[in-house]
This record gives sequence, C-alpha cells and structure tokens, in this order.
Amino acid sequence: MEATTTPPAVSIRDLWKRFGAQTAVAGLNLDLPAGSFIGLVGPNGAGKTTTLSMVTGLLRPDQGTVLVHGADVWQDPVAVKSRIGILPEGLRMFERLSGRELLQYNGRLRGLPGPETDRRAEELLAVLDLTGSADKLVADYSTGMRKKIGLAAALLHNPDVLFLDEPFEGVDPVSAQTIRGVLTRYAASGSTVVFSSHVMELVESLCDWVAVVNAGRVVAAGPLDQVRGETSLHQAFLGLVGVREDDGQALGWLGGGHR
Amino acid sequence: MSTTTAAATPDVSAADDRAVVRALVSLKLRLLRNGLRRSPGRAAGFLVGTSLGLLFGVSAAVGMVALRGHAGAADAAAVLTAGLAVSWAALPLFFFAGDESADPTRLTMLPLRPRALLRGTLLGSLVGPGPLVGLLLLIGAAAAGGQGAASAVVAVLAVPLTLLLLIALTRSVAAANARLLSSRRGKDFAIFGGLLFALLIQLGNLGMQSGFQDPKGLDLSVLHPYAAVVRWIPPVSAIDAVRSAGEGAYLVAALQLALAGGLLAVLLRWWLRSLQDLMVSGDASTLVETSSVHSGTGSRFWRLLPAGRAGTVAQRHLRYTWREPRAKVALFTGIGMTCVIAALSVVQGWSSVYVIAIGALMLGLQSGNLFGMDGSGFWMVAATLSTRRDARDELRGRVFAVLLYGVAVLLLVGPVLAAVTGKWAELAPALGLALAALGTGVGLGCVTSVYAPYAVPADGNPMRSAAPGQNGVVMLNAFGSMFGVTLGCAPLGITLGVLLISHSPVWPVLPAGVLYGAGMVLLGVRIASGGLIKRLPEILTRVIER
Repeated sequence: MEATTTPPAVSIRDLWKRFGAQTAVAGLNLDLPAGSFIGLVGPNGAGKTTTLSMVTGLLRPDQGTVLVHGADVWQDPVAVKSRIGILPEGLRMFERLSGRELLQYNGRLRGLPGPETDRRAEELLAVLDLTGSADKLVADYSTGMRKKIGLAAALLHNPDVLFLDEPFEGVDPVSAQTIRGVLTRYAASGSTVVFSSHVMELVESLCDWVAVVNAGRVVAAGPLDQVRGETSLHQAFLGLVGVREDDGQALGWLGGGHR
Repeated sequence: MSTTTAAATPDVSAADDRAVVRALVSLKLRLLRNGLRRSPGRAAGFLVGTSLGLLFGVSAAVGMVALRGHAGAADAAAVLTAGLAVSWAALPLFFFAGDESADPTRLTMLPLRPRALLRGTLLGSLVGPGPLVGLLLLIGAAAAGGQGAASAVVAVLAVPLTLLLLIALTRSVAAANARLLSSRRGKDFAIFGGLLFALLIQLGNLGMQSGFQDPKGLDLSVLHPYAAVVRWIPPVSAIDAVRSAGEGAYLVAALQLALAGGLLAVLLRWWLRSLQDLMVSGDASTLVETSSVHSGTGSRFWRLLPAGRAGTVAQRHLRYTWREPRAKVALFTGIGMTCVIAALSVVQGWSSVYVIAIGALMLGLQSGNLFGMDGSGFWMVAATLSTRRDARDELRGRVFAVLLYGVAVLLLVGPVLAAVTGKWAELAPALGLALAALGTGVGLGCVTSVYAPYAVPADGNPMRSAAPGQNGVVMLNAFGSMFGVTLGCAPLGITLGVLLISHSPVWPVLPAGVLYGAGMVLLGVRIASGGLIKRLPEILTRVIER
C-alpha cells in the first residue's frame, strides 16, 4: 500500500472527547493517506463531526494528538489552519456579506495578495456557478449556494488537505454535481480530500479510501475495495456497525387505511 | 501554493497581523453598510437613531461643558461616566447581539493569531454611532471636571482610555454572556441578569428623582456621596483623573489613570482568553451535554388541566415557559419588574395596592406573541388546525397557561402589598382592576399574536427579542398592546374613579373586573380564532426566523 511508504496527510492518535456522561469520540486512531479521496462514514451520532472538528482545530479534544502533514493541530493551530480548508456542517458565515465579499475577506484574512484573491475568487465563483449571485448577501443564499460558497472559501488558499463535513446534505443534484466536479479535480491534482457522509453510494463513487466510524471508534479503514470486500459498501457498512434486520412485528397498525 | 506556505511560516507575523487588523476593521464597516443596504426602512431607522443619538450626545456634552465651574461639576462627570459604564456593560445583554464582526466563531476556520484577532475586533468595535456618542459624552465629562493645561494633557490620555475600557467591558460581558448561555444552568442564571437590569433602571430612576425634583435650581450635591465612591472605580477613575490633575493632585491623577489602565489590561486578557475558548469549543453542529427532562404526564397537577386540545396546549405552553430560556426570561422579567416596582413604591412612600395593575399590564403582554416562541415548530401546530373550533381550543389552551401564572402572581402580590401598606380597603378594587387589565392584555394578545406575530430568534442571546428586520413589528406589538390595554380597561378605570370620587363602595369593582377581564379574554379568543385559521401560512412565515 502506498500509504505506508509516504507519510500520512493526517495522523490521529488516541483522540478522546466526552460531553458530560456521553463519550462522543473514544480513543480514535487513524492515519489518512496523502493524495487520496477519503470518505469518513458512520451512522448518526458516531462521532464523525466531533472528530472532524477536533482534527481541524475547531474543537479542543480532551486527549490525543492530531498531526496534519507532520504539524500538530493543537500545538500550532495557525500553521495548520493555513494549510487546510474546512467546510463545517453548521457553517457559520458572515451573513451580511455578499458571496464575492466573503471570499475577498477570507483572502485578506489569510494574507493572500489582493489581486490574487480577486482572480481566484472570480474563478471559483464561475466554476461553482455562483457568478450570478456573487453580489447577493449570503443571508439570501439557498442551502446549496451556502455549501458552494463555503467550499469556495475553503479552497481559496489552495489547501493541502480539504475537510468537508456532510458537503452534500441538503444540496440539490445540480449543485451536488458541480461540487463533485470541483472536488474530483482538486483530488486529481494530488491533494487530499476528507469528507464525512452517511450516503454510501456517494462515498463509493467518489472515494478511493474509507474509514468507518461507530460509537467514537474506527471499526474499519483502508482502500475502498478492501473495506467493502465482495459486497457493496452499503452491505459492508451495515455489517460493520451491527444493524439488526427489523422483524416488522411492531407498527402493526401502520398502513392499510385503518385509523 | 507559494503564498499559503509563506503565510504558514511563523516569521511573517507582524505585517500579517496588521493586515488582519485592517481587514477586520473594514469587515465591520462593510457589514454595517450591507446591513443598512438590505432594507430602506432599516437604513432610515439607523439614520434617525444615529441622528438622535448624536443630538443627545452633543447636547449632553454641551450641558456638561456648561457645568464647568459649578461646585458639583466633577461629581456630575463622575456619575455620568459611571452611568455610561453600567449601560455599556448591560448593552450586550439586550441589544447588538447581531454584531457579526465581533463573533469569533465565524472566523474559526482561518489561521488567525488570537492577538491580531483581538486588536482587530477592538478597533472594529470603535466603528459605529454608539462609540461616537460615548466619545462625545466622555469629552463632555472630562471638560466639565477639568481646569488648566494639566487637565488637558490628562484628558487626552483619559478619554481614549475610557472609551477603550467601555468597549472592552461590553465585549467581555458579551463573551461571558455567550459562555453563560451555552449551558442550561447558565441560561437559567441569565434570568437574574434581566432582573438585575430591571432593578438597576429603577435605582437610577430613584436617584434621578431624588436629585432633580427640586425645581428651584440644579442641586448637584446629592451626587457627591456617589461620586466620592465611583471616582476610584475604573473606568470612572480615568475621567476623574482629569479633575485631580486640574487641582494639582498629580499623584492621585496618576493613580487613577493606572487603575483604569490596569482594568483595561485585565479585561483585554480575559477577553483574549474567552476568544480562544470560544473558537475551540463546540458549536451547534457538535454534541453538547444534554439531560433528559421529566415529563410526569401522570402527575396530579397536569391532571387538573382540562382534557382535550385546550388542556394539551396549556400543558405544552407551561412546559415551554419553563424549559425555553427566552420564555423564562420574559416571564421572570415581567414578574421581577412587578415586584421591583411594588418594592420601590413602598420604599418611596407612594405605595398603593393599585400598583399591581402595572404588573397585570406586564403579565398580559406575555401573550402578545403566543406563536413566536414556536418558531419553525409552528408547522406542527398548523398541521393539526383544521377547524375554527381547533383554533379556539388552541388559543384557549395558551391563554389558560398565561392566565394560570398571571392570576397566581396577582393574587400573591396584591395581598402582600395590602399587608405592607395597610390599605386593605384597596385590595378588592385593585385586584378587580388588575384582573381586568390582565384579561384585556391576554385578549388583545390573542389578536396581536394572530395579526402581528414575529419571530423570536433562538440563537445565542435570549435577551434579543427580534429577528433582523422585524424590530418594527415587535415595537408595534409591544407598544400597541400597552396602549390598547390601557384603552380597553378605561371603562372600568373610569368607573372606579367615579366611585372613588363619590365615596361609593368600591368592592363591586372586584367582581366587575373579573367579569370584564373574562369577557375581554373570550372576545379576544373569538376574534383571533377566525384569523388564526385564515392566517396560518402567514403566521408560519413570520415566526420562522431568517
């Protein structure tokens, strides 16, 4: 496997996070190979978002280390954040900026030269099909447009690793296709994409490497073919997280038109 | 790629940080401008508000300068600065929660050094009409107390220092508030913030009344004892240093300036800490500690509620009032204000049992926006409302919940006031008037809930009552209701007045008030239920915050 010869893009060791009595992430260990399109899958509440937040420096872990290309996220967050791009799930943005202004301020705050920021912003807006709404306020954007402008902001500084939390949730097929195109192009250039999702078909068609998370731990990780084996990723996933088939005994009243 | 790697290397910090500070300040300006451009109404409101604020600032500053040479001028300056500090500290609890530029959680993805972020946010906070008015007042205060060149030199230092302190104070309170509100217990605690503020306003009111009620001339000597204390407390100490320097007490002036500088350093340090904490603590998209709630559907209390839709709705409304921090704050501020006014009336010696009518007015206002707290969840209610009868039951249930605690508070406070004042004869008519006012408020509230609903933002600050762009509706709703209730109770009030003047027995006002209030509630529910069925989509659109 290539992952063993080249140093990993992201290296997570013994990561813990508890919220009160609830343990969201329980000693998670994971090495994500550089230059891969990586899918982080797991059921709701498995700890995907919590893990991604801690990996990207948005949430302080209780314990554990995270290295992104060798730099410790929690020792030197500024250096790491300048090398990664993040699209969090509940993305908080400046609602009263236009899409174009949002990118311009992002560039300025990241220390990119003004003309370079403008050039990149215009290209990103065009590719993501946002040029027509570039002067509208983000507050008036739809869910798909918000994801796209968030993605543009995450790509603006050409990061080495891109983290996306549920980038396709609530996004219409047209915008989803646009986002897929941009991500595929970005990954083809040798950069690393890490995204979380619970849509197995999507992960299967986009990713070449997957990690399955359940109850705050990694239950399987590796190249896509290795993890899914002979079956579909969907089947393999259900087997890994241990889902029992519903026997249909309950809900006997449901359907049939009787009240 | 070259630019990003350059940004990643640690040796470009200084130039980088300056660019960050500049970008943050320009971001603040841009957000202000875009916010105004969004609606002409808001721009007009901003313009009027700013003009009034500046007018007030200029006239207050001129007034302070006119006080120069007056015996109490320096005392007045100290008290003014203290008032300014208190109101700036309290501001974030009530307003300006929408200042996006000061919200560090929107910048968490960026590689920003906390110190640059702090400087940028601090400077950005200096932009806007509020700080300008503050600056005018501070200049006035410094001019009032100062004399001579030494004062002028100190003032050049003291005024900007005080302004920075005010802003740091506001931001620290806002940051602490944000942290407080991230936990359930903190949200409960925030209620007391509302009560405290109500108390402070009343105390200020009391002070003003005792200080300025003498029509013969401006007597500032009442301020002296307060000023003697606050002049040592920063940020007031910085402004008072101007006076100290003018009187030749340079050592005192230096000490006072140092106190203010010390507080600024402490506040900035604390603000920096909370910025860093906010940026790495969970937001809404990650899990937070949750606790289960006890439903207790079978408990004896709930069984007292009527069966059917009305009872179910009443139960949910009561649960919401208790569990939803914003509803809780509104309720407890209403009750708190009533208690504070009652207590103050006793202290000031103008007390009367009729004070509970003011409480009834405030409690009645609780029902002015019955569906606002439902927010986007209102669709669940809307989906189950199909007939006018459903609508009537829905309204009855909510009204019943409001009346349950409203009447309880009045029945509790009334006798207490009567006992304290000894005016037992007033109890019956006062309760009658209060119950009529409560009923009128609730009845009118049903109508405004249907015809002028507004969203209650769920984010962060429970003190903020209006979603962006709906301030007008909120004001209309609140002031319209107050005016309407007063007008609606006028017949009973006039009758009471006639009875009092003619020395007739006033006890019949109690049953009359109960009937009057009940009638108003029924009338309100009747009018509103028709509108509720017709206006479901409109209400849903309005109560969903955007």
